Amino acid sequence: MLSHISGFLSIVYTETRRLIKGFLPAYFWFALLVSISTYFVFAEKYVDISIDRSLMTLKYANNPMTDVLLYTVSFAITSLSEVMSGKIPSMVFPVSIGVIFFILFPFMLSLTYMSSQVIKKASATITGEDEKKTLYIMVSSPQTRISIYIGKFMGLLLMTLPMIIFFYLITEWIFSSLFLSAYSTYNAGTLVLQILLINAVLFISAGMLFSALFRNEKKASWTGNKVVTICSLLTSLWILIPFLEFMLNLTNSNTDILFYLEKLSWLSPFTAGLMSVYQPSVFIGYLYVLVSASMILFLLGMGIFIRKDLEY
Amino acid sequence: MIVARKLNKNYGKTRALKDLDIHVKKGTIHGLIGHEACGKTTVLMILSTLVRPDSGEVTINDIPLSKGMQIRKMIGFVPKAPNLPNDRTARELVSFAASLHGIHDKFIIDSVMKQTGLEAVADQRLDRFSQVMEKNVAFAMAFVHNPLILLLDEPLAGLDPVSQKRIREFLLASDKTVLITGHDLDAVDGLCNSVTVMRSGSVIMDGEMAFLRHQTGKGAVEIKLLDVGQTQKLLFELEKNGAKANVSGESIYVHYENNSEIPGIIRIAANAADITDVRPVKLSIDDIFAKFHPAEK
Repeated sequence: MLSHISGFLSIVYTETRRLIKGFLPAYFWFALLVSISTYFVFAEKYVDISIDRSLMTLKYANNPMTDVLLYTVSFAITSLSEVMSGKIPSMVFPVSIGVIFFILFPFMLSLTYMSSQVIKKASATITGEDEKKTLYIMVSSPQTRISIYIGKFMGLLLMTLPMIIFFYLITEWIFSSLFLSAYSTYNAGTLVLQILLINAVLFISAGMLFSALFRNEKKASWTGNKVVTICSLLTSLWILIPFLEFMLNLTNSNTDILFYLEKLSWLSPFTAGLMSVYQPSVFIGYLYVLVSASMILFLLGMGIFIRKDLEY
Repeated sequence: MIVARKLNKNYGKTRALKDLDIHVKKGTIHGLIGHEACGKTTVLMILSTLVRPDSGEVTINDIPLSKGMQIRKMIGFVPKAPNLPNDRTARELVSFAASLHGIHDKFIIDSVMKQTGLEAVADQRLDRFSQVMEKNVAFAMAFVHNPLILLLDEPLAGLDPVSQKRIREFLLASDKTVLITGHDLDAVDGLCNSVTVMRSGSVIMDGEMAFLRHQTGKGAVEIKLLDVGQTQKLLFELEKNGAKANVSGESIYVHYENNSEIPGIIRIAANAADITDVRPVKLSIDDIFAKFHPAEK
């Protein structure tokens, strides 16, 4: 039993070391992306003012982007007199808009970038070794395929941790220095940490499933990449819904289709993440969904890997 | 001891193994011989639990293959062309293979490195290794946990003479049960106690090497003399002692019924003439096909 555990730990250590080594460029680009987008958040001024929600009612766009739209319209109306008299209106954002900026730039970018990199690595974890024919080293050892699969999963998760911790610290910094009023109502850092972690688990599970399913690394990576692209597109759609509704209202068009589009956009885990940061109460519901999805994908992948013939 | 009964394996529509039976006695070296794609590697992959058989029974030291973990504790597997991660050193890889078996003793790792001739290059990355050295690393990784059973897929192919000699000596001196594959009988001659000859996933013939020689009419030793003028004298002496002999080119072929006759033949030859070389007649896989499946040859 002891030798089995030490063998398992050895798999985790070797996998983590190998993965981190190959993930160094991704860490660099992630840090750069987060730093630049964080700089933009810090470039604006934020005050504790509320948004006038009586300006317009949007039926389907029950999401943070409505606030951006409302604020933009409100700003245009209130600053009209200043503009007419030749003055440049001062741009000060409410904290709630600041939080949306955080969600749209550093958070959305980190979430999608991290997920795309993680699924790319996860999709290659078994197919890559299968193609290089190096998997026999572990598979012909006394380690069970279950421990090998879990070991590889752990390696991928540990590889992702530096990104998650880095972004957690950035979030703590932004909220404690810029959005104190929001920070006092909920701990955004911990929430972001949980969202990134569950997304990492979900995309690792999905990537490993593709890796166990396909015999070709290129095909597995392509599928993983497409999944992230589709999720990103769905979340972009979710972001655009308030603007679409606004435009459709202006032209007096039927907005029923937005109902279905909004539901469709919820299929993306990124949408869940973004919504949760703005409205932490929705997180628990999504957490259950994402944990269940991750478990199903993980078990499916493991089942396929256990039954898989490895040819040499 | 390795026992496989009625083993079947299909890859899609291709039948890789057809009702294959193999019996390898404990502590012996058994050869699995056959042309390319005859199913030899599939047998090794099934025994090393990399591939599942479609049907059939397999036991290794009386443990069924379904108890994969116990089986893998006993085996050491060396693939035909080991593709090892080339960004790691030989020592790292052998240590990793050892750790999978729960072995962390540096002394064991060092002694295996020494045994496989990797001591001097232990800390070099594999991207600087030749194929021969890489194969030696694969041997070290397979031997590090001192397995009872060795499954070696064409182990001597591509090895330099020094490494071949080292591996041969190691296998002959060990008391392990070894299953070794090869394209032809000369690859395993002098190494195997018994062989199984395969063709298209089925067993054509199996038995001890001497039995195969006798069955195929290749039970003969080839003698070469320093002076061909002594040929007649040697033939006379051999015939006088009841041995059947004939001459072909510069070689004299002396036929025997049993392996035990060989020392006597050599003694007679050595007394009658100056011999430069004595060796068993090369038995090829085609001789076996010709004997047992003449239509398919």
